[in-house]
Amino acid sequence: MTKKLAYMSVFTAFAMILGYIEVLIPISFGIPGVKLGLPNLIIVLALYRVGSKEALLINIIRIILTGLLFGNFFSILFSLAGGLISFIVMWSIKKTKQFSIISVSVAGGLAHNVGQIFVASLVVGTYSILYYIPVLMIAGLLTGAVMGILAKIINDKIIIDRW
Amino acid sequence: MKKNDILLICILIVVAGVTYLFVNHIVMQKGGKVEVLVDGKVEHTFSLEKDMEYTIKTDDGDYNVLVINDNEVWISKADCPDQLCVHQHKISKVGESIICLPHKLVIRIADTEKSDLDAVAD
Repeated sequence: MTKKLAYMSVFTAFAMILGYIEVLIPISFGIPGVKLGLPNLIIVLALYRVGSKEALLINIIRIILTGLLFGNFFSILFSLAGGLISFIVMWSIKKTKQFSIISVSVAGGLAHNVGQIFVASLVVGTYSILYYIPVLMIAGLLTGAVMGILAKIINDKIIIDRW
Repeated sequence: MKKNDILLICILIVVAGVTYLFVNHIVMQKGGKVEVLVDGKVEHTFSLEKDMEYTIKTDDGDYNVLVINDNEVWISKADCPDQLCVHQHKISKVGESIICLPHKLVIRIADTEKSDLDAVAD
C-alpha cells in the first residue's frame, strides 16, 4: 500500500513538472488558461499501470497543485474541466478494449482541449471564443499522438512492480 | 488493435478538418464593427473601417489600449500582469475576440447589420 502511494506521488510530481514545462513553451492559443496537455502522458501511463481511480486522483491533484503554483483560478477551472472530460473519454475508450494506448492518448488530448475551450466560453460569456475549436482540436490530436507514442514505448519497456 | 487505432485517428482528423472548414468559411466573415465589453456589458462600439486608437480605462485604474488599423483590431498596450491580451493576434472577422481576463475585457468583432444578442438587458 505504501509502495503504491509512493509511486502515485512520483507520478503526480512528474505530471506537475510536465505541467510546468507546458507553461514555459511560448505557444499561446490566444485564450488565457488553455494549454497543450503534456501531463496527459502521465495520466495515460497511470491509467494503464496503476489503475483508473488512482489515475483520476493523480490528475485532479496535479491540476490543483500546478494551478496553485503557476496558474490562476481560471487556469485551474479550465484544466479541471479539460482533465475530467478527457479522463472520462480515455477511461471509456480503454474500457472497450478495442483500441491501443496511442488512441487513448489521442482521444484524451483532443477531449482535454475541447473541454477546456467549452468551459472557457461559458465563463467568459461569449460564443465567439468557440471559433478556436478547430485549432485546439488539431493541437490536441497532435500532442495526444506524440504523448501516446511515448506512453506506448514507456509502457512496453519499463517494468514496474505489481501490487 | 492496430486497425481500430488508425480508424479512430482518421475519423478524428476528419472531424477536426470538417470543423475547421465549417468555422473558417461558414461561421466567420469579415466584420463591420468592434464591440468592447467590460464585465459582459457592451461599453463601446467602434467601426472597423475607421483607423483609431482608444484607451479603455476602468475605475480601478486598469487600462488597455485598443488599436483599429487597416480593418484589423488589436491591443497594443495594457497594464495587466499576464499581458496575454497584448500578444493575442489581430482580429478582423465576425466572432473573433481578444480577451483580457484580469480586466474582464472582451473585444469582439460583430456584424454591422444585426446586433449580437449577447448583451441586451431590458
